[in-house]
Order: sequence, then C-alpha cells, then structure tokens
Amino acid sequence: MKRRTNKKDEVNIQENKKEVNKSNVEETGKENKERLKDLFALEMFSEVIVKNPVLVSTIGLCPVVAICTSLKFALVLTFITYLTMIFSQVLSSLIFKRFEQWIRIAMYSLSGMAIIAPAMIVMQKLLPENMIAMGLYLPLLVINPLITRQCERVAVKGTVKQSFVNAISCATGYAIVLIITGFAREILANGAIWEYTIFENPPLPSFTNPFAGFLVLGLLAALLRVYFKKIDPQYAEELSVHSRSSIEKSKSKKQNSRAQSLITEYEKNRNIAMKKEQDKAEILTEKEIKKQSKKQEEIKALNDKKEEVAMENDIDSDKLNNVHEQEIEKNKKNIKKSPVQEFKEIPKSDYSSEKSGQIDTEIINTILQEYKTNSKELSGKNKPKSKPKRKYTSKELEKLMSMNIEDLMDMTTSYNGKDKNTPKTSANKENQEVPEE
Amino acid sequence: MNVIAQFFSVALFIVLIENLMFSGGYGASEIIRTAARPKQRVLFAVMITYFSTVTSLICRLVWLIPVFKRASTIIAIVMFTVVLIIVYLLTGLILIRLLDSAGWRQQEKEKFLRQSGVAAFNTIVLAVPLINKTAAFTVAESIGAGVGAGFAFMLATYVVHEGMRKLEDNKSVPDCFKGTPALFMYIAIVSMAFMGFTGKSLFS
Repeated sequence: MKRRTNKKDEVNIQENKKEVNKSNVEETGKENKERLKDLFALEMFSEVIVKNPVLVSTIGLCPVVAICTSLKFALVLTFITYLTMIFSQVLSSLIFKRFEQWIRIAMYSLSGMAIIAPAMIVMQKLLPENMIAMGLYLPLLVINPLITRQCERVAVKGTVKQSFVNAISCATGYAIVLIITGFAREILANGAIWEYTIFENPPLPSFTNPFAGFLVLGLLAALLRVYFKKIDPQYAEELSVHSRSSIEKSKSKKQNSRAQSLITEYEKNRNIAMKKEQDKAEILTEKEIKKQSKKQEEIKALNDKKEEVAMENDIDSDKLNNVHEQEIEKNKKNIKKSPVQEFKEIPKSDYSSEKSGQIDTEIINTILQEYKTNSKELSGKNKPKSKPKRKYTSKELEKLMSMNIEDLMDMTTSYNGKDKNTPKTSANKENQEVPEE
Repeated sequence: MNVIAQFFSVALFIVLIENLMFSGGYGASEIIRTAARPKQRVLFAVMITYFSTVTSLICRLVWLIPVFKRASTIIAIVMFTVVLIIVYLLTGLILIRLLDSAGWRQQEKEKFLRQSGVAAFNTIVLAVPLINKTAAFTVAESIGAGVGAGFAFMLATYVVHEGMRKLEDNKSVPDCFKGTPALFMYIAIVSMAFMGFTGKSLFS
C-alpha cells in the first residue's frame, strides 16, 4: 500500500512539475514578447524620429529628392525600400559579416540588385507608365547608402532578429518622409492626389524638380527640430549633426571627454599616490612617535631611578651638587703650582734687586727633595692628595730668586719627570747628591 | 579636335548646366557628408572621378557588343552594377598590394578601402553610364561625362561647405531652422539657381 501511495505521489509531483514548467514557459514567453514589443517600440522611436535617416542623418536623399514627386511613386519607393532593407540586412547578418568590410560594401549593392531587378520587371508589366516616369532613378536604388550604413551599423554586429527589427524600423522612418514629401509635392505640382483634383490650376508646377524635394525636407527637418525642442529637448542637437560648428562641437566634446577621462585618470592616480605617501608618512610618524615615546620613557625611567637613589641616600639633589662643587674646589686647591708658575706669580720687584750667582746650595737641595717627594706621590696617584704645604722663609725665597733662569728651568723639567738626562747645572756640579731623573 | 571638343563639352555640361547634384539630385547625401569634412573632399572627388570614368568607359565598350546593345534597361542596369563591382574589387586588390608595399598600417588601409567603397557605390558613379546610355554618348563623351561627374561633385561639395560656413556665422537664422533644416533650404535655393541654366521656369 505504501509503495502504491508513493508511486501516486511521484506521479502527482511530476504532473505538478510539468504544470509549473508549462506556466513558467508561458510566463517567460509572455515576458519575452513584452520585451520584444518594448524593444521594437524603442527601435521604432529611435529610427523614425530620433535617428531619422533622411532628416537627421541625411542619408538616401537621392530617391527622396529626385523620384518622390507623387504619392504613387512614394508608395512604390517605400515598398522597394522595405524589401531591400530587410533582404540585405538579414543576408548581411547571416552571410556577409564573414567577409571583409571592403568586400561587404560591394555585396550590399549585389543584394540590392537582387531585389530591384525583379521589382523593375514586375513594374514594367503592371505600371509601365510609372516605370517610364521614374526613368533613370529607379535603377539607381540598387545603390542606396542607407542600406550600406544600416548593414554596417547593425546587421553585421547583431543577430538576425535585431537586424530584421532595425530594417523594419529604419524603412518605416524612411517611408514616412517619402510619403510626406510625395504628398506635398504632388499637391503643389499637380494640384491633385491620386487622381483626385484639389486645385484646378496647380500652384507650383516646377515642384517636380529636385529643389522642391530639398525645400520640403528642410521644412520637415525644421518641424522635427521644433518637436525636439518642445517635447524631447534632449535630442535637439541631433539635427545639427552635419553643420560645421556642430562637427567642431562634437570634436571638441570628444576631445573634452578624452581630456576629462585623462584628467580623471590622472586624478585617480594622483590620489592613489597621495594616499600611499600619506600612509608612508603616517608609518614614519608612527615610528618617530614610538622612538620619541621610547626616549621619553627612558628619560623618565632614568629620572625615576635618580629619584629613587636620592631617596635611598636621603640626600637631595641640591646637596649633592653642593658636595660635588666643594670637591671640585678642593681638588683645585690641592693641585700644586709648577715652580715656573710660582716664579711668575712672584712680583718682579722682589728679585730684581738681588745679585745673580749668589745661591745657597743647601736651601736648593731641600726644595728639590720636596719636589721629588711630591712628584712621586703624583705619579702614584692621579688625584692629588691634600698635603700641608711647606712654607718657605723669606731667605729661602730670596735665594731662589737669585738663581739663574736656566737652573730654574732644569728644575722644572726634573720636576715634571720628562727630561731624564738632566743637564748638569752649576748647582748640580757642586752638589753631586742630586739624582738624575 | 572633334574628340577633344566632345570631351570638354560634355564635361562642362555635367559640371555646370546639368550639375548632377543640384539639377539631378544625384549623390546628395554623399555630397553633404563630404562637405562637412572638407579634408576628404579632394580624395573623394578623385575617387569618384576615377570610378565614374572607368565604369562609364568599360560600360560604353561593353555596350558596343550587339547582344548587350539590344538588351533592355533592366539588363543594362544589372550589367552596369556588375561592371562597377568588378572595377571596385580589382581596384581594391591593387590598392591593397600598393598600400602593403608602401608600408601602411592595417587600420589606415581599412579606412582608405572603406572610403573608396563609399565613393565607388554612389548614385553619381552609377548614374554616369546610365546617362551615357540614354544620351547615346560616344567614347570621348562618356569619358568626359565621367571626368565631369568628379568635378561636379567637387564643385557641389565646395558650394555646400561654403553654405554651411555662412549659415553657421549667420545669427539671423531662426532657431528652429538652425543646422540641417537651413542647409536643406540653402541647397534648395542653389539647385533652383542651377535649374535656371537648363531653361526651366518656376511657375510654368
């Protein structure tokens, strides 16, 4: 029982699926149809009004100006243009697009000839009078620049459907202009439409000439311009495509657009570069800030340590400074002056009066011994230790002053310990106990 | 002397009296487009002169064959079109070889060939052999018609270009007539003037 129910369910599901698929297909079909309708409407609007081949693009003027002198001719021309447009566009989208462009251009005229030659044969049988009236111009429809343009623009690039829709819409735009011009020219030139007389005396019989075609086209183009200006102002510039200034404007627009695109690209690149530089600068500043913060932290840590040390020793930094200064002063005091310095410090008046050569050797020896002891102590220790200075008596000083300068210099060298081979002075010669340094 | 006179008389007739553009309306769209691009004017004129002269000459020679002489206008137009296509394709092949040897780029080459195609498949070019047939021109006259077609094209483009320039500078043109409408009006007036050379009147 379960199996049977399952089978039934499966069948029901499949049926439902089929129904759903059918409904989906129908819906998609409707959507596609609606889309096609919309596309067709858009294409018709653009080709009939916005990009009208005659009034806007100024293509296919020869048949309009030369042949389209009556409504009959206009209808014949519309029929031929519909056929040629559809045939050549479909062919080009199917076959011609495989060839190179310069060969394709020749093929379009072949396709046009394939339609017009039979059309001429039919017309010769059905409407021989019209065929004669059309004269040279009907065979010239073999070469229509409108076909070449539309095939190159749409048919070669698009699908068969697109080219078909485009052919119909473009031919409609062309046909509307043909019919209007034919109608207007027939009334003015013949005073009648399709054998129905409106004016007994035709007002402008010369309107069968090409200039009338240009006049009618000018008026139609002006009407289209008014329509654009009042209803669709966005397409107003379309009608000035072939004027010199408009070409220059379009060129300048293109150049401006190129320039703008270049500027935007440049700005983009510049912004990117600026951002990169800013990022780099930010990274650098971050590094610098980190370094600075590290330094500050180190300084803070050092200060803290100092403070901690100061706190531990219960000594203020001022006190420490004072102590340090006192020590420096003490050291300054302890540094003994050299004999030369002492000699210089002695006032000249003190020794100038003394007689040279009168030297007491005993006193000198004592002084030298004292220097020796002092020098030994200095060489042993960097820092001079404070020792009680020997105070010379006035007599001793007088004797020193009476010494020769050379002897005194020898004494200073021996005191510094640089000159080991001390020259034998007169005092040394006399007193051999003085050691050589 | 007679041949030269025939040549020049037909050439002047097609350039001035029966100007193909203003009196016949042939190649109107191409003339307007070329007038808007004055740099291409001479090149187009040369190409049109070449194609119209060569096709009209060949068609005239073919027309001397008795089989084609008896043929109707439909066969004649097919023959003219085929001759034009052959002339164009041969010229294209020669041009490709010449441009390849000259070292032209592919884009430039394609552009030149496209321009030659537009110039070749033009109503002016196909109209010349048809006029030759209907008017029963001789060989010298048909060559004169071909050369005259090129000069007529040149003259028409020059006149239309000057008109464009003047219309752009003219500020008294109404706003709704600016651009293409004014240009159509200008060509209509000029073609009206050329119609005067043929002896036709406006109101008769």
